[in-house]
Amino acid sequence: MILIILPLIASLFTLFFKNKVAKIIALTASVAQLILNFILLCATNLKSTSLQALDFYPWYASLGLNFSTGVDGISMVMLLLTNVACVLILLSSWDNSYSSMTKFLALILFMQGALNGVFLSMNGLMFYIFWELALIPIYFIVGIWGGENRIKITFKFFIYTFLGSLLMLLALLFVYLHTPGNHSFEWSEMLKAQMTGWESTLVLWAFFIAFAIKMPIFPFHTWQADTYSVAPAQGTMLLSGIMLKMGIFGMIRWMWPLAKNACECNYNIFIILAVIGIIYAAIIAIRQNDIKRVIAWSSVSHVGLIAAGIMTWSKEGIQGGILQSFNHGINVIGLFMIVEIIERRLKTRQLDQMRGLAKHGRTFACLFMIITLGSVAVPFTNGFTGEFLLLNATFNYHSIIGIVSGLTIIFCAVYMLRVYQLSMFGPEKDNGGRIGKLTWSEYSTLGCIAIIILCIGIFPNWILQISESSVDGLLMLMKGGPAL
Amino acid sequence: MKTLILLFISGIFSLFGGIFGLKKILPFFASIALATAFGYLAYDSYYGIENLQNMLIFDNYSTLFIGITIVSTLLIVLMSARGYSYNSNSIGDLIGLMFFVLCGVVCMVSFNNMVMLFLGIEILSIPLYVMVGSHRNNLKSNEAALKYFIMGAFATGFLLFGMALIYGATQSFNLDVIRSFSATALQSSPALVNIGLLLITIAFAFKIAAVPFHYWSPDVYQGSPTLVTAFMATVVKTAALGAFLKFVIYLSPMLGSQWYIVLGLMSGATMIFANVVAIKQNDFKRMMAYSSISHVGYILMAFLTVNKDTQSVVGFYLIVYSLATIGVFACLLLLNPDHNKSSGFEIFNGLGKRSPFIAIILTVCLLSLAGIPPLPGFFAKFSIFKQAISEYLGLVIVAIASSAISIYYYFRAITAMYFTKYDETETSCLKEKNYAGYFVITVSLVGLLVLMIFPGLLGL
Repeated sequence: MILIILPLIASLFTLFFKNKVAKIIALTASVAQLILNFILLCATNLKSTSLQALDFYPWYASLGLNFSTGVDGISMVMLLLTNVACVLILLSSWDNSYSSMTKFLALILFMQGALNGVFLSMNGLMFYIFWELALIPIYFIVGIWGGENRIKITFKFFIYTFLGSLLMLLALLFVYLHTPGNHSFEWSEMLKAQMTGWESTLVLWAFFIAFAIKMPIFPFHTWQADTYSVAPAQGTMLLSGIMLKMGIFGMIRWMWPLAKNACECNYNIFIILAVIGIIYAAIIAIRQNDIKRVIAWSSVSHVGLIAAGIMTWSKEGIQGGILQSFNHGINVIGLFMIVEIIERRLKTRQLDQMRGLAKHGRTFACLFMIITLGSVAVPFTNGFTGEFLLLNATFNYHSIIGIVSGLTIIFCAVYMLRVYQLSMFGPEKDNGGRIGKLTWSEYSTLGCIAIIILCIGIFPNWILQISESSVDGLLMLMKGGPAL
Repeated sequence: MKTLILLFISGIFSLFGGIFGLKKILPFFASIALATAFGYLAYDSYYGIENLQNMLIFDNYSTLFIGITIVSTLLIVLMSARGYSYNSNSIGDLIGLMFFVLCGVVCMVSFNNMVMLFLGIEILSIPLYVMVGSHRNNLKSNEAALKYFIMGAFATGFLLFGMALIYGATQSFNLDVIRSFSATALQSSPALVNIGLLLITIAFAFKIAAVPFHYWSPDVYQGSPTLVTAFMATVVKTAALGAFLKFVIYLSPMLGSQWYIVLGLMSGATMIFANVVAIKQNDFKRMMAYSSISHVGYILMAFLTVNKDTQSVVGFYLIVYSLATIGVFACLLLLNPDHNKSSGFEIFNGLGKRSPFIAIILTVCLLSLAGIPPLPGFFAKFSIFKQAISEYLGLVIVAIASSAISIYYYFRAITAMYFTKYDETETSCLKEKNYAGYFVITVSLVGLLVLMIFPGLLGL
């Protein structure tokens, strides 16, 4: 409860202060939030396979809407990601001086509250409400502080995702009508919904499209690259680092259990779509000149792999997907931070405008290297374990799919190293752009990210343990085991 | 009954007050009178049902709808001092007419005899024709009044004709008698009753502006003074829907399946047409007219499955809708109190910078109208969808699709407020201290937020 309410209150509170103070307040609030999250982590029994309910308050009882929250290992990882990422994002915005900075910070905090709500809610309607609530701040962040052409692009983004969520609302309503007895939107009740295979398949598709738009999976990705490149750096971080994980989480928590009677064959289609996305996006990424667009497309590719792995619905797949969601969130925030730093100094993001940046920014080059390697999934970085598990799962599912999605690592190396080489090495361009010294906030953001990348690379079990028993419980449930 | 008498006396007093130079205190007096009337209403309903010779029945139902209209009027009257200052000589008339409209509302939503329904609709309509045309020097206002008058007269004709046919079949205007007759009457003269019902439905569709009887509404909304537009979009709409719903609830045993088909088609057409046409509007008031038409479409869905919850579902919807609509029009009045600017979307340009407070409130109201969760507009829409989904799945899908369309035009205003640059040289009326206006928008914001956190507060 407090995880959701605190950022919302903090966001209101921030509005009353001027730039500098507001920054301090926002950062303090997000750190406090992170500490609370760790307390919750310690208080949660991670050995238990079931969901641990936290709060239950009737909100609008005649609609079946309750404020009911619960946590398990899966949502715990997502919560950790959200709260870690928000600290990093707020830290990264320290040096920005946008007009009306307070509003900007308030919107980020607002977003954090909404995202926590998404990951915590155990009521279908509440899930939908927070899902939509998360869309509003990002709409304003992109629309107000975005680059050129932003009005058109935010509109497209908003309507696209809103349509997806309306489909999800329909699916939720449909399941609701099939719950036994007095209908209910509670997750545990919705699991008991009696639906035939066909009805389940409809629900499955509605959920899939909603989540696929959010993630985005090919062919629902058309909003993504434009929105990412137009959004301000922090907006992109929020979008790609956290918001996209709402889709992954939604698949695990809502789509799969609620549509369990649907034909398995649908998942074949989904996995094939995801794998097409992996290759397609990677190839596009190689040809881009704008660094932000490279990373945007790489994000589509990585997420495709996560989605494919998860939808094999094997233990390695889900575990790898959860771990990799966390890693991808951290890595992508790091990459966008690097783009932001380059853009602050050079006023451009075009690759052909930059060469030899490493010469006057050695620490920067070093940190950039670590993050790049993490994203390429070199052993001892965080990406390795996650992608290994995912590839293992897809390979077990079908060898050809495994091999094709394995190409992602090669492609990723190609486009990431291309970016690195073109920007960092070679003779310096004489148009005067240099990296020079990093400010302390840039240092600490990138430093934290590098440390997290290495730590998780060396001790991946730390995250895997959090979600392990919950994944076991979920798999048991889906095999017709005892209800949670 | 006390409420009705009080409203009537206040109306007369306002008219005379206008003549004897009490213009300054009239809005103040009117708000006190309305508050008292609301108090009487609550007091009366506490003591149970009041039945006046089977002509009017004051029960929970009528209390709910009268309450909504009185509070809406109160908020609108508060703004009238500034919102009507360009024509302040006749403010007494305006407020007096508002009271008379309210008298009509009371008759309409508590009728138990169709004669009272007819009287109520007439008492409501005739002052409205005058109010719409009250911006005398404005061509659009005159046009609106004429258009509204002619259309309204036609609608009344339909209503009377329908009532006459039903009287012919059942020999009574009394709803209870008609209902008890329904079984036998339907067999003896089905055509008479069915045609009668259809004609009455058409008359109601005129009043609530449902497609295809909505053509008067955009012109009238655009042409009338903003204050009157707000009044029509909230009070008049609430009253007409209240009367229609009462009619449907009472006579539901008489309504054959073909009637439901007609109403379902009307509801679907209203949602699609209004939302699609609203996209192309460049005038904000016109857009709001189409938006209010589309809301009628959603509400009509609730009429299809009448059960014990319908009253509270529709009531909640109308409360939320009225609060948000009044908020929107109040913001518009704050920006353009003298009606000397065009009411296109460009009036909102850069409002997020010029006046963040108004911008936030307008945003919340528009988001609520668009039905974005978790604002109460979403709860209201959702409860209607939930009621209808088991029987009318197709209609619900149409409704959901059209509310996705509606995002487009509500967000046009929001986009203009936050993302568009504005002309800084333009003189702005934001500097004046219009406390009443700010008070009203604050009330609508607080109301919406309270209903968001405690949707069950009103016991609906």
